[in-house]
Amino acid sequence: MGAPPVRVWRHVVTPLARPGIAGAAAVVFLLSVAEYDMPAILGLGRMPFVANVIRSIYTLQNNLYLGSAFSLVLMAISTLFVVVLVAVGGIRNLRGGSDG
Amino acid sequence: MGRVVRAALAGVLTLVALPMLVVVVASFSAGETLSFPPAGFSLRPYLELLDDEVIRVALARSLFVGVLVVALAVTAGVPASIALVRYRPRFRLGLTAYLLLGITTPLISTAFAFLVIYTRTGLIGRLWPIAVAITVANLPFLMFSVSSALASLDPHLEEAAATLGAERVQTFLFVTLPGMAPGILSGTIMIFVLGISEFLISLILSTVATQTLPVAIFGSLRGPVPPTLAAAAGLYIVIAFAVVGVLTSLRTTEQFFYRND
Repeated sequence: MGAPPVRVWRHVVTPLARPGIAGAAAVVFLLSVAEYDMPAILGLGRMPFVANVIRSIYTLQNNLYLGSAFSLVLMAISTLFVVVLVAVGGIRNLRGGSDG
Repeated sequence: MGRVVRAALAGVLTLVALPMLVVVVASFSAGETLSFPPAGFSLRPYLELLDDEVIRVALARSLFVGVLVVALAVTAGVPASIALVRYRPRFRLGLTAYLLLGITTPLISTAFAFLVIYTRTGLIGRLWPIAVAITVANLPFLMFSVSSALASLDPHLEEAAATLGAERVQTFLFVTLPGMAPGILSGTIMIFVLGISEFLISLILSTVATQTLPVAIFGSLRGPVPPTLAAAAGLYIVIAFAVVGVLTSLRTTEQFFYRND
């Protein structure tokens, strides 16, 4: 109906793809926030991420309780992020669609 | 605008392929240690790979874990997806969220939770419990794929089959299953590759006797890196491509089969 491409994007494509974008963002965030191997290898051990810290608490300090507490906090943050994304993205089912 | 988009596209495409290219090129280096660009071209890293007992055994373990992960995930994930998409049980949203716990739980938490369980039950030092842990963490990826195939399959086809006198089992075998087969296959590919390349869970749960290939490679990263490791990575890429190739051709065969039916 004569809408320029930018407006098609803004008003048609993006809204329709919203659940998909939100779902992809959730997965990527979840995988990145708990990343272990990249900081371990590329950071040469000098810039530990939370996963690296958790592992050293478990294995080096042998502190099962502190490690579990950290894990739980990380889990809470991840879950919160996903809940927000699901709400914002209007995700209703596994395939990221918004229908019933 | 067009040029900016094209430049961005080229940048993304290069970044995505770069790690693979570097590893493959480096895996043919002639020197004693891994260098990039390689000092010379040689097939020796691959030949040494055949002699390297540690890497060979680790590769076998990884492949075993990959196969087991596929078996477990397909057994659990396909029926779960069918139940969630087709039968719409009560608390469906809750059940879906519950089944997605595998990826909302950070890998490090999953890994240590299983470490605690396995230490208590004396399962540390065996390979199959590692596969179980990896399955739990990666099951959602298979379910995404299966569910979306199932959701895009028209339920009227199943109703039509039933109207035409098909039993429920027949409907499932000849209508539902072929319809969701592409989803099962792509899910299988994904979870197999995730299974053989899984690192963190294996790192925490494995002992010297159960080291998988990624863990073995990580362990030998301290000090000068032999080109054999790049060759092992190259072999992994070949295996991944082979799995994709075989399963894709399976799909073609299956389509051919059902169309002629």
